[in-house]
Amino acid sequence: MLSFTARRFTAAVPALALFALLAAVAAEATGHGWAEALGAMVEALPLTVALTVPALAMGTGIGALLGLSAGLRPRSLAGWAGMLLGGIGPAVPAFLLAAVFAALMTDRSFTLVLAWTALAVAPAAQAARVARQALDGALDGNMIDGGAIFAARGRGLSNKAVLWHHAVPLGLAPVAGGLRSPVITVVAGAVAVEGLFALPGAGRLFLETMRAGDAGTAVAALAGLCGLTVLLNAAGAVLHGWFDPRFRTA
Amino acid sequence: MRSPATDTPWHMASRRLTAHRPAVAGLAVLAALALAVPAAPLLGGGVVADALSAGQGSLAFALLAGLIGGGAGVVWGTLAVALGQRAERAMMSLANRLMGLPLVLGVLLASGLAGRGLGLLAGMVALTAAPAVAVLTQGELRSLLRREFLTAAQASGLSGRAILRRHIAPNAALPLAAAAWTALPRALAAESFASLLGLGLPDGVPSWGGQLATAVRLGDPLAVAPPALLLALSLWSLCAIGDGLRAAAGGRP
Repeated sequence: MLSFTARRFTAAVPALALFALLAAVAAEATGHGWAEALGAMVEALPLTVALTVPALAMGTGIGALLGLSAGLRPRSLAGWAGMLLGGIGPAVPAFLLAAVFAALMTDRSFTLVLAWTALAVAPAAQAARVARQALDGALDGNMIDGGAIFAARGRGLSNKAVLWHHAVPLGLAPVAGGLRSPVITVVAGAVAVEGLFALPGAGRLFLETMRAGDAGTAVAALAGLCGLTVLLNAAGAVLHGWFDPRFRTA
Repeated sequence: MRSPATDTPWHMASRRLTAHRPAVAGLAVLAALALAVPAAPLLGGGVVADALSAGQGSLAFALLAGLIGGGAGVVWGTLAVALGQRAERAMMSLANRLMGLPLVLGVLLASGLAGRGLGLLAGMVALTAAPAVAVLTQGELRSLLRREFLTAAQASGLSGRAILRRHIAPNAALPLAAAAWTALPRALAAESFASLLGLGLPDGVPSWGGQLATAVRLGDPLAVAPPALLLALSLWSLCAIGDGLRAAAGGRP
Protein backbone atom coordinates (compact mmCIF):
# COMPACT_ATOMS: atom_id res chain seq x y z
CA MET A 1 0.00 0.00 0.00
CA LEU A 2 2.87 2.35 0.89
CA SER A 3 4.67 1.75 -2.39
CA PHE A 4 1.37 2.17 -4.26
CA THR A 5 0.88 5.54 -2.53
CA ALA A 6 4.43 6.58 -3.38
CA ARG A 7 3.96 5.47 -7.00
CA ARG A 8 0.74 7.43 -7.37
CA PHE A 9 2.20 10.63 -6.02
CA THR A 10 5.46 10.26 -7.98
CA ALA A 11 3.38 9.88 -11.13
CA ALA A 12 2.00 13.38 -10.43
CA VAL A 13 5.47 14.99 -10.23
CA PRO A 14 6.07 15.49 -14.00
CA ALA A 15 2.69 17.22 -14.36
CA LEU A 16 3.45 19.46 -11.37
CA ALA A 17 6.88 20.33 -12.80
CA LEU A 18 5.29 21.11 -16.16
CA PHE A 19 2.75 23.47 -14.55
CA ALA A 20 5.48 25.24 -12.56
CA LEU A 21 7.58 25.60 -15.72
CA LEU A 22 4.65 26.98 -17.74
CA ALA A 23 3.85 29.46 -14.98
CA ALA A 24 7.48 30.59 -14.77
CA VAL A 25 7.75 30.99 -18.57
CA ALA A 26 4.48 32.94 -18.74
CA ALA A 27 5.57 35.20 -15.88
CA GLU A 28 8.95 35.90 -17.50
CA ALA A 29 7.33 36.49 -20.90
CA THR A 30 4.97 39.11 -19.49
CA GLY A 31 7.76 40.95 -17.70
CA HIS A 32 7.16 39.73 -14.15
CA GLY A 33 9.83 37.92 -12.24
CA TRP A 34 8.83 34.25 -12.02
CA ALA A 35 9.53 34.32 -8.29
CA GLU A 36 7.03 37.13 -7.79
CA ALA A 37 4.21 35.39 -9.71
CA LEU A 38 4.82 32.00 -8.07
CA GLY A 39 5.10 33.71 -4.67
CA ALA A 40 1.70 35.35 -5.09
CA MET A 41 0.25 31.97 -6.06
CA VAL A 42 1.84 30.11 -3.13
CA GLU A 43 0.54 32.78 -0.76
CA ALA A 44 -3.03 32.44 -2.06
CA LEU A 45 -3.19 28.67 -2.47
CA PRO A 46 -3.64 27.65 1.23
CA LEU A 47 -7.09 29.26 1.37
CA THR A 48 -8.13 27.36 -1.76
CA VAL A 49 -6.87 24.13 -0.17
CA ALA A 50 -8.84 24.99 2.98
CA LEU A 51 -11.96 25.44 0.86
CA THR A 52 -11.63 22.44 -1.44
CA VAL A 53 -10.24 19.62 0.73
CA PRO A 54 -12.83 19.73 3.57
CA ALA A 55 -15.66 20.25 1.09
CA LEU A 56 -14.51 17.30 -1.00
CA ALA A 57 -13.96 15.03 2.01
CA MET A 58 -17.21 15.92 3.78
CA GLY A 59 -19.27 15.88 0.60
CA THR A 60 -17.93 12.56 -0.59
CA GLY A 61 -18.16 10.96 2.86
CA ILE A 62 -21.73 12.04 3.56
CA GLY A 63 -22.82 11.34 -0.02
CA ALA A 64 -21.33 7.85 0.05
CA LEU A 65 -23.02 7.02 3.36
CA LEU A 66 -26.39 8.27 2.07
CA GLY A 67 -25.87 6.34 -1.17
CA LEU A 68 -25.09 3.15 0.75
CA SER A 69 -28.22 3.58 2.85
CA ALA A 70 -30.23 4.19 -0.32
CA GLY A 71 -28.96 0.83 -1.56
CA LEU A 72 -29.43 -1.04 1.73
CA ARG A 73 -32.57 0.55 3.18
CA PRO A 74 -34.34 2.40 0.37
CA ARG A 75 -37.37 3.11 2.55
CA SER A 76 -35.50 4.78 5.41
CA LEU A 77 -35.07 8.53 5.72
CA ALA A 78 -31.36 8.34 4.88
CA GLY A 79 -32.24 6.12 1.93
CA TRP A 80 -34.68 8.69 0.59
CA ALA A 81 -32.10 11.42 1.12
CA GLY A 82 -29.51 9.38 -0.76
CA MET A 83 -31.84 8.78 -3.70
CA LEU A 84 -32.91 12.42 -3.80
CA LEU A 85 -29.31 13.63 -3.61
CA GLY A 86 -28.21 11.26 -6.38
CA GLY A 87 -31.16 12.34 -8.51
CA ILE A 88 -30.80 16.10 -8.26
CA GLY A 89 -27.00 16.08 -8.44
CA PRO A 90 -26.54 17.35 -12.01
CA ALA A 91 -28.90 20.28 -11.37
CA VAL A 92 -26.82 21.88 -8.62
CA PRO A 93 -23.27 22.60 -9.77
CA ALA A 94 -21.10 24.43 -7.25
CA PHE A 95 -21.08 27.74 -9.13
CA LEU A 96 -24.89 27.87 -9.20
CA LEU A 97 -25.18 27.25 -5.46
CA ALA A 98 -22.43 29.79 -4.86
CA ALA A 99 -24.36 32.41 -6.85
CA VAL A 100 -27.58 31.69 -4.94
CA PHE A 101 -25.80 31.81 -1.57
CA ALA A 102 -23.95 35.00 -2.52
CA ALA A 103 -27.25 36.71 -3.38
CA LEU A 104 -28.93 35.47 -0.19
CA MET A 105 -26.02 36.25 2.13
CA THR A 106 -26.74 39.28 4.25
CA ASP A 107 -23.91 39.21 6.78
CA ARG A 108 -20.49 37.69 6.33
CA SER A 109 -20.29 35.59 9.50
CA PHE A 110 -21.28 32.34 7.74
CA THR A 111 -19.16 32.85 4.62
CA LEU A 112 -16.95 29.81 5.16
CA VAL A 113 -19.85 27.48 6.00
CA LEU A 114 -21.78 28.62 2.92
CA ALA A 115 -18.68 28.21 0.76
CA TRP A 116 -18.11 24.66 2.00
CA THR A 117 -21.78 23.81 1.52
CA ALA A 118 -21.83 25.17 -2.03
CA LEU A 119 -18.74 23.13 -2.88
CA ALA A 120 -19.76 19.93 -1.06
CA VAL A 121 -23.17 19.30 -2.66
CA ALA A 122 -21.92 18.22 -6.10
CA PRO A 123 -19.38 15.66 -4.78
CA ALA A 124 -22.00 14.38 -2.33
CA ALA A 125 -24.51 13.85 -5.13
CA GLN A 126 -21.96 12.07 -7.28
CA ALA A 127 -20.83 9.85 -4.38
CA ALA A 128 -24.44 8.99 -3.46
CA ARG A 129 -25.22 7.98 -7.01
CA VAL A 130 -22.06 5.94 -7.57
CA ALA A 131 -22.17 4.21 -4.16
CA ARG A 132 -25.77 3.17 -4.63
CA GLN A 133 -25.22 1.80 -8.14
CA ALA A 134 -22.06 -0.07 -7.10
CA LEU A 135 -23.68 -1.57 -4.00
CA ASP A 136 -26.73 -2.63 -5.99
CA GLY A 137 -24.46 -4.19 -8.59
CA ALA A 138 -22.38 -6.02 -5.98
CA LEU A 139 -25.44 -7.36 -4.11
CA ASP A 140 -27.19 -8.39 -7.33
CA GLY A 141 -24.14 -10.46 -8.18
CA ASN A 142 -22.96 -8.94 -11.43
CA MET A 143 -20.03 -10.47 -13.26
CA ILE A 144 -17.29 -8.16 -12.03
CA ASP A 145 -17.99 -7.54 -8.37
CA GLY A 146 -20.65 -10.10 -7.57
CA GLY A 147 -18.13 -12.94 -7.70
CA ALA A 148 -16.52 -11.88 -4.42
CA ILE A 149 -19.93 -11.66 -2.72
CA PHE A 150 -20.90 -15.03 -4.15
CA ALA A 151 -17.67 -16.61 -2.92
CA ALA A 152 -18.03 -15.04 0.54
CA ARG A 153 -21.57 -16.37 0.86
CA GLY A 154 -20.44 -19.75 -0.38
CA ARG A 155 -17.91 -19.95 2.43
CA GLY A 156 -20.69 -19.58 4.94
CA LEU A 157 -20.04 -16.02 6.12
CA SER A 158 -22.97 -14.37 7.83
CA ASN A 159 -25.04 -11.82 5.93
CA LYS A 160 -23.69 -9.07 8.15
CA ALA A 161 -20.06 -10.02 7.53
CA VAL A 162 -20.66 -10.27 3.79
CA LEU A 163 -22.27 -6.86 3.81
CA TRP A 164 -19.68 -4.97 5.86
CA HIS A 165 -16.51 -6.75 4.77
CA HIS A 166 -17.27 -7.27 1.10
CA ALA A 167 -20.28 -5.40 -0.25
CA VAL A 168 -19.66 -2.02 1.43
CA PRO A 169 -15.98 -1.77 0.35
CA LEU A 170 -17.09 -2.71 -3.17
CA GLY A 171 -19.66 0.06 -2.99
CA LEU A 172 -17.12 2.61 -1.74
CA ALA A 173 -14.27 1.73 -4.13
CA PRO A 174 -15.91 3.23 -7.25
CA VAL A 175 -16.69 6.39 -5.25
CA ALA A 176 -12.97 6.84 -4.61
CA GLY A 177 -12.15 5.72 -8.16
CA GLY A 178 -14.57 8.24 -9.62
CA LEU A 179 -13.23 11.16 -7.59
CA ARG A 180 -11.72 12.82 -10.65
CA SER A 181 -14.84 14.61 -11.80
CA PRO A 182 -15.83 15.86 -8.31
CA VAL A 183 -12.25 17.11 -7.83
CA ILE A 184 -12.56 19.18 -11.01
CA THR A 185 -16.03 20.42 -10.03
CA VAL A 186 -14.78 21.48 -6.60
CA VAL A 187 -11.63 23.23 -7.86
CA ALA A 188 -13.57 25.09 -10.57
CA GLY A 189 -16.33 25.78 -8.04
CA ALA A 190 -13.74 27.21 -5.64
CA VAL A 191 -12.85 29.81 -8.28
CA ALA A 192 -16.51 30.85 -8.46
CA VAL A 193 -16.88 30.80 -4.66
CA GLU A 194 -13.76 32.88 -4.10
CA GLY A 195 -14.80 35.31 -6.83
CA LEU A 196 -18.37 35.74 -5.56
CA PHE A 197 -17.63 35.68 -1.80
CA ALA A 198 -14.46 37.83 -2.14
CA LEU A 199 -12.21 35.25 -0.46
CA PRO A 200 -8.51 35.88 -1.16
CA GLY A 201 -7.51 32.46 -2.55
CA ALA A 202 -5.82 31.31 -5.74
CA GLY A 203 -9.13 31.39 -7.64
CA ARG A 204 -9.70 35.03 -6.79
CA LEU A 205 -6.09 35.83 -7.63
CA PHE A 206 -6.67 34.18 -11.01
CA LEU A 207 -9.84 36.20 -11.70
CA GLU A 208 -8.51 39.53 -10.44
CA THR A 209 -5.18 39.37 -12.26
CA MET A 210 -6.92 38.33 -15.46
CA ARG A 211 -9.39 41.20 -15.24
CA ALA A 212 -6.43 43.52 -14.71
CA GLY A 213 -4.76 42.06 -17.82
CA ASP A 214 -1.85 40.61 -15.84
CA ALA A 215 -1.40 37.34 -17.75
CA GLY A 216 1.76 36.25 -15.95
CA THR A 217 0.24 36.05 -12.48
CA ALA A 218 -3.04 34.67 -13.89
CA VAL A 219 -1.21 31.75 -15.51
CA ALA A 220 0.71 31.15 -12.27
CA ALA A 221 -2.57 31.04 -10.31
CA LEU A 222 -4.06 28.70 -12.91
CA ALA A 223 -0.98 26.47 -12.67
CA GLY A 224 -1.43 26.35 -8.88
CA LEU A 225 -5.08 25.30 -9.29
CA CYS A 226 -4.14 22.63 -11.84
CA GLY A 227 -1.39 21.35 -9.52
CA LEU A 228 -3.91 21.13 -6.68
CA THR A 229 -6.23 19.15 -8.97
CA VAL A 230 -3.48 16.71 -9.90
CA LEU A 231 -2.55 16.14 -6.23
CA LEU A 232 -6.19 15.63 -5.22
CA ASN A 233 -6.61 13.17 -8.10
CA ALA A 234 -3.56 11.25 -6.86
CA ALA A 235 -5.05 11.16 -3.36
CA GLY A 236 -8.31 9.83 -4.85
CA ALA A 237 -6.41 7.08 -6.66
CA VAL A 238 -4.67 6.09 -3.41
CA LEU A 239 -8.04 5.91 -1.66
CA HIS A 240 -9.35 3.75 -4.50
CA GLY A 241 -6.44 1.35 -4.05
CA TRP A 242 -7.11 1.21 -0.31
CA PHE A 243 -10.72 0.11 -0.82
CA ASP A 244 -10.08 -2.17 -3.79
CA PRO A 245 -6.77 -4.11 -3.74
CA ARG A 246 -7.23 -5.12 -7.40
CA PHE A 247 -6.61 -1.51 -8.37
CA ARG A 248 -3.20 -1.43 -6.62
CA THR A 249 -1.58 -3.66 -9.21
CA ALA A 250 -2.95 -1.63 -12.12
CA MET B 1 -49.14 -9.56 -28.69
CA ARG B 2 -46.56 -7.51 -30.49
CA SER B 3 -45.75 -8.71 -33.99
CA PRO B 4 -42.09 -9.59 -34.45
CA ALA B 5 -41.77 -7.09 -37.30
CA THR B 6 -42.01 -4.12 -34.91
CA ASP B 7 -39.19 -5.41 -32.72
CA THR B 8 -36.39 -3.75 -34.64
CA PRO B 9 -33.38 -2.64 -32.58
CA TRP B 10 -34.57 0.96 -32.93
CA HIS B 11 -38.00 0.12 -31.53
CA MET B 12 -36.42 -1.69 -28.64
CA ALA B 13 -34.08 1.22 -27.98
CA SER B 14 -36.93 3.73 -28.03
CA ARG B 15 -38.91 1.52 -25.63
CA ARG B 16 -35.92 1.46 -23.28
CA LEU B 17 -35.67 5.25 -23.55
CA THR B 18 -39.34 5.76 -22.70
CA ALA B 19 -39.04 3.25 -19.84
CA HIS B 20 -36.37 5.51 -18.28
CA ARG B 21 -38.61 7.84 -16.30
CA PRO B 22 -36.13 10.67 -15.62
CA ALA B 23 -35.32 10.78 -19.33
CA VAL B 24 -39.01 11.16 -20.21
CA ALA B 25 -39.35 13.93 -17.63
CA GLY B 26 -36.22 15.56 -19.00
CA LEU B 27 -37.56 15.42 -22.56
CA ALA B 28 -40.82 16.98 -21.40
CA VAL B 29 -39.02 19.77 -19.54
CA LEU B 30 -36.74 20.44 -22.46
CA ALA B 31 -39.68 20.52 -24.89
CA ALA B 32 -41.51 22.95 -22.60
CA LEU B 33 -38.40 25.16 -22.44
CA ALA B 34 -38.00 24.99 -26.22
CA LEU B 35 -41.55 26.31 -26.54
CA ALA B 36 -41.43 28.84 -23.69
CA VAL B 37 -38.04 30.39 -24.42
CA PRO B 38 -38.82 31.70 -27.93
CA ALA B 39 -42.28 32.80 -26.74
CA ALA B 40 -40.85 34.78 -23.79
CA PRO B 41 -41.06 38.24 -25.48
CA LEU B 42 -44.83 37.71 -25.81
CA LEU B 43 -45.15 37.43 -22.02
CA GLY B 44 -44.24 41.07 -21.54
CA GLY B 45 -41.87 42.19 -18.79
CA GLY B 46 -41.18 40.68 -15.40
CA VAL B 47 -38.35 38.62 -13.93
CA VAL B 48 -39.64 35.29 -15.23
CA ALA B 49 -40.05 36.52 -18.81
CA ASP B 50 -36.60 38.10 -18.64
CA ALA B 51 -35.07 34.84 -17.40
CA LEU B 52 -36.88 32.88 -20.11
CA SER B 53 -35.65 35.17 -22.86
CA ALA B 54 -32.09 34.98 -21.47
CA GLY B 55 -32.43 31.24 -22.06
CA GLN B 56 -32.22 31.95 -25.79
CA GLY B 57 -28.58 32.90 -25.48
CA SER B 58 -27.66 30.15 -23.04
CA LEU B 59 -29.47 27.29 -24.77
CA ALA B 60 -28.48 28.32 -28.30
CA PHE B 61 -24.85 28.64 -27.25
CA ALA B 62 -24.95 25.30 -25.38
CA LEU B 63 -26.38 23.65 -28.50
CA LEU B 64 -23.69 25.17 -30.73
CA ALA B 65 -20.73 24.47 -28.45
CA GLY B 66 -22.14 21.08 -27.43
CA LEU B 67 -22.50 20.01 -31.06
CA ILE B 68 -18.94 21.12 -31.84
CA GLY B 69 -17.56 19.50 -28.69
CA GLY B 70 -19.57 16.29 -29.09
CA GLY B 71 -18.65 16.03 -32.77
CA ALA B 72 -14.97 16.67 -32.04
CA GLY B 73 -15.01 14.09 -29.27
CA VAL B 74 -16.63 11.43 -31.46
CA VAL B 75 -14.12 12.13 -34.26
CA TRP B 76 -11.27 12.01 -31.73
CA GLY B 77 -12.38 8.65 -30.31
CA THR B 78 -13.14 7.16 -33.72
CA LEU B 79 -9.81 8.26 -35.20
CA ALA B 80 -8.02 6.80 -32.18
CA VAL B 81 -9.63 3.41 -32.82
CA ALA B 82 -9.10 3.62 -36.59
CA LEU B 83 -5.46 4.75 -36.62
CA GLY B 84 -3.92 1.72 -34.94
CA GLN B 85 -2.66 0.80 -31.53
CA ARG B 86 0.10 3.34 -31.00
CA ALA B 87 -2.00 6.30 -32.10
CA GLU B 88 -4.87 5.01 -30.00
CA ARG B 89 -2.74 4.81 -26.89
CA ALA B 90 -1.32 8.29 -27.40
CA MET B 91 -4.65 9.94 -28.23
CA MET B 92 -6.48 8.27 -25.38
CA SER B 93 -3.79 9.03 -22.84
CA LEU B 94 -3.98 12.68 -23.90
CA ALA B 95 -7.78 12.62 -23.51
CA ASN B 96 -7.48 10.97 -20.11
CA ARG B 97 -4.93 13.48 -18.92
CA LEU B 98 -7.04 16.41 -20.12
CA MET B 99 -10.09 14.92 -18.38
CA GLY B 100 -8.22 15.14 -15.09
CA LEU B 101 -7.70 18.91 -15.38
CA PRO B 102 -10.16 21.74 -14.74
CA LEU B 103 -10.42 22.66 -18.43
CA VAL B 104 -13.24 25.08 -17.74
CA LEU B 105 -10.67 27.42 -16.18
CA GLY B 106 -9.03 27.50 -19.63
CA VAL B 107 -12.26 29.03 -20.95
CA LEU B 108 -11.90 31.83 -18.40
CA LEU B 109 -8.22 32.29 -19.27
CA ALA B 110 -8.89 32.47 -23.00
CA SER B 111 -11.72 34.97 -22.78
CA GLY B 112 -9.90 36.96 -20.11
CA LEU B 113 -6.75 37.36 -22.17
CA ALA B 114 -8.08 37.35 -25.75
CA GLY B 115 -11.36 39.20 -25.24
CA ARG B 116 -14.88 37.83 -25.08
CA GLY B 117 -15.53 36.67 -28.64
CA LEU B 118 -18.32 34.23 -29.45
CA GLY B 119 -16.18 32.02 -31.70
CA LEU B 120 -13.32 31.70 -29.23
CA LEU B 121 -15.73 30.96 -26.40
CA ALA B 122 -17.52 28.28 -28.44
CA GLY B 123 -14.20 26.68 -29.34
CA MET B 124 -12.90 26.67 -25.77
CA VAL B 125 -16.17 25.37 -24.33
CA ALA B 126 -16.22 22.63 -26.99
CA LEU B 127 -12.67 21.75 -25.96
CA THR B 128 -13.74 21.27 -22.33
CA ALA B 129 -16.36 18.73 -23.40
CA ALA B 130 -14.47 16.87 -26.15
CA PRO B 131 -12.00 14.69 -24.13
CA ALA B 132 -14.76 13.06 -22.07
CA VAL B 133 -16.76 12.33 -25.23
CA ALA B 134 -13.61 10.91 -26.88
CA VAL B 135 -13.03 8.52 -23.97
CA LEU B 136 -16.65 7.34 -24.02
CA THR B 137 -16.55 6.94 -27.82
CA GLN B 138 -13.38 4.88 -27.75
CA GLY B 139 -14.77 2.64 -25.01
CA GLU B 140 -18.03 2.06 -26.88
CA LEU B 141 -16.26 1.32 -30.16
CA ARG B 142 -13.78 -1.04 -28.50
CA SER B 143 -16.55 -3.01 -26.82
CA LEU B 144 -18.52 -3.09 -30.09
CA LEU B 145 -15.54 -4.40 -32.05
CA ARG B 146 -15.19 -7.30 -29.61
CA ARG B 147 -18.72 -8.54 -30.30
CA GLU B 148 -19.16 -11.97 -31.80
CA PHE B 149 -21.42 -10.98 -34.68
CA LEU B 150 -18.53 -9.05 -36.22
CA THR B 151 -16.35 -12.15 -36.16
CA ALA B 152 -19.24 -14.03 -37.75
CA ALA B 153 -19.61 -11.36 -40.43
CA GLN B 154 -15.89 -11.56 -41.17
CA ALA B 155 -16.03 -15.34 -41.29
CA SER B 156 -18.90 -15.20 -43.75
CA GLY B 157 -16.63 -13.31 -46.13
CA LEU B 158 -18.22 -9.83 -46.08
CA SER B 159 -15.93 -7.03 -47.23
CA GLY B 160 -14.62 -4.54 -44.71
CA ARG B 161 -16.81 -1.81 -46.15
CA ALA B 162 -19.94 -3.95 -45.94
CA ILE B 163 -19.19 -4.83 -42.31
CA LEU B 164 -18.68 -1.15 -41.53
CA ARG B 165 -21.90 -0.11 -43.27
CA ARG B 166 -24.20 -2.94 -42.25
CA HIS B 167 -22.92 -3.97 -38.84
CA ILE B 168 -20.68 -1.40 -37.22
CA ALA B 169 -22.42 1.86 -38.20
CA PRO B 170 -25.98 0.90 -37.15
CA ASN B 171 -24.77 -0.60 -33.88
CA ALA B 172 -22.47 2.31 -33.06
CA ALA B 173 -24.95 5.10 -33.86
CA LEU B 174 -26.88 5.14 -30.60
CA PRO B 175 -23.95 4.60 -28.19
CA LEU B 176 -22.00 7.36 -29.94
CA ALA B 177 -25.02 9.68 -29.86
CA ALA B 178 -25.30 8.99 -26.12
CA ALA B 179 -21.59 9.77 -25.72
CA ALA B 180 -21.86 12.99 -27.74
CA TRP B 181 -24.95 14.08 -25.79
CA THR B 182 -22.84 14.44 -22.62
CA ALA B 183 -21.21 17.46 -24.27
CA LEU B 184 -24.48 19.45 -24.10
CA PRO B 185 -24.85 19.73 -20.29
CA ARG B 186 -21.11 20.29 -20.00
CA ALA B 187 -21.27 23.14 -22.53
CA LEU B 188 -24.25 24.74 -20.79
CA ALA B 189 -22.53 24.50 -17.38
CA ALA B 190 -19.21 25.82 -18.72
CA GLU B 191 -20.82 28.81 -20.44
CA SER B 192 -22.93 29.68 -17.40
CA PHE B 193 -19.87 29.38 -15.15
CA ALA B 194 -17.87 31.73 -17.39
CA SER B 195 -20.76 34.20 -17.81
CA LEU B 196 -21.37 34.22 -14.05
CA LEU B 197 -17.78 35.34 -13.52
CA GLY B 198 -18.09 37.98 -16.25
CA LEU B 199 -15.87 36.14 -18.71
CA GLY B 200 -18.47 34.35 -20.81
CA LEU B 201 -20.80 35.47 -23.58
CA PRO B 202 -20.34 39.04 -24.89
CA ASP B 203 -22.33 41.78 -23.15
CA GLY B 204 -25.09 42.06 -25.75
CA VAL B 205 -26.02 38.38 -25.54
CA PRO B 206 -28.35 37.60 -22.64
CA SER B 207 -27.60 34.43 -20.70
CA TRP B 208 -28.58 32.83 -17.41
CA GLY B 209 -25.03 33.12 -16.12
CA GLY B 210 -24.99 36.85 -16.92
CA GLN B 211 -28.35 37.37 -15.20
CA LEU B 212 -27.08 35.52 -12.13
CA ALA B 213 -24.01 37.76 -12.08
CA THR B 214 -26.20 40.89 -12.21
CA ALA B 215 -28.48 39.58 -9.45
CA VAL B 216 -25.50 38.72 -7.22
CA ARG B 217 -23.97 42.16 -7.78
CA LEU B 218 -27.24 43.80 -6.72
CA GLY B 219 -27.69 41.29 -3.85
CA ASP B 220 -31.24 40.62 -5.02
CA PRO B 221 -32.49 37.13 -3.98
CA LEU B 222 -35.71 37.49 -6.01
CA ALA B 223 -33.85 38.20 -9.24
CA VAL B 224 -31.51 35.26 -8.64
CA ALA B 225 -34.27 32.66 -8.38
CA PRO B 226 -35.69 32.52 -11.96
CA PRO B 227 -32.40 32.14 -13.88
CA ALA B 228 -31.02 29.78 -11.21
CA LEU B 229 -34.09 27.56 -11.36
CA LEU B 230 -34.22 27.53 -15.16
CA LEU B 231 -30.52 26.74 -15.38
CA ALA B 232 -30.82 23.95 -12.79
CA LEU B 233 -33.84 22.52 -14.61
CA SER B 234 -32.10 22.57 -18.00
CA LEU B 235 -28.93 20.97 -16.63
CA TRP B 236 -30.95 18.26 -14.91
CA SER B 237 -33.02 17.53 -18.04
CA LEU B 238 -29.98 17.34 -20.28
CA CYS B 239 -28.25 14.94 -17.88
CA ALA B 240 -31.40 12.83 -17.45
CA ILE B 241 -31.84 12.51 -21.22
CA GLY B 242 -28.16 11.55 -21.47
CA ASP B 243 -28.71 8.78 -18.89
CA GLY B 244 -31.79 7.63 -20.81
CA LEU B 245 -29.86 7.52 -24.08
CA ARG B 246 -27.14 5.49 -22.40
CA ALA B 247 -29.73 3.08 -21.04
CA ALA B 248 -31.36 2.86 -24.49
CA ALA B 249 -28.01 2.20 -26.14
CA GLY B 250 -26.66 -0.25 -23.58
CA GLY B 251 -29.79 -2.28 -23.19
CA ARG B 252 -29.81 -1.75 -19.45
CA PRO B 253 -33.14 -0.76 -17.91
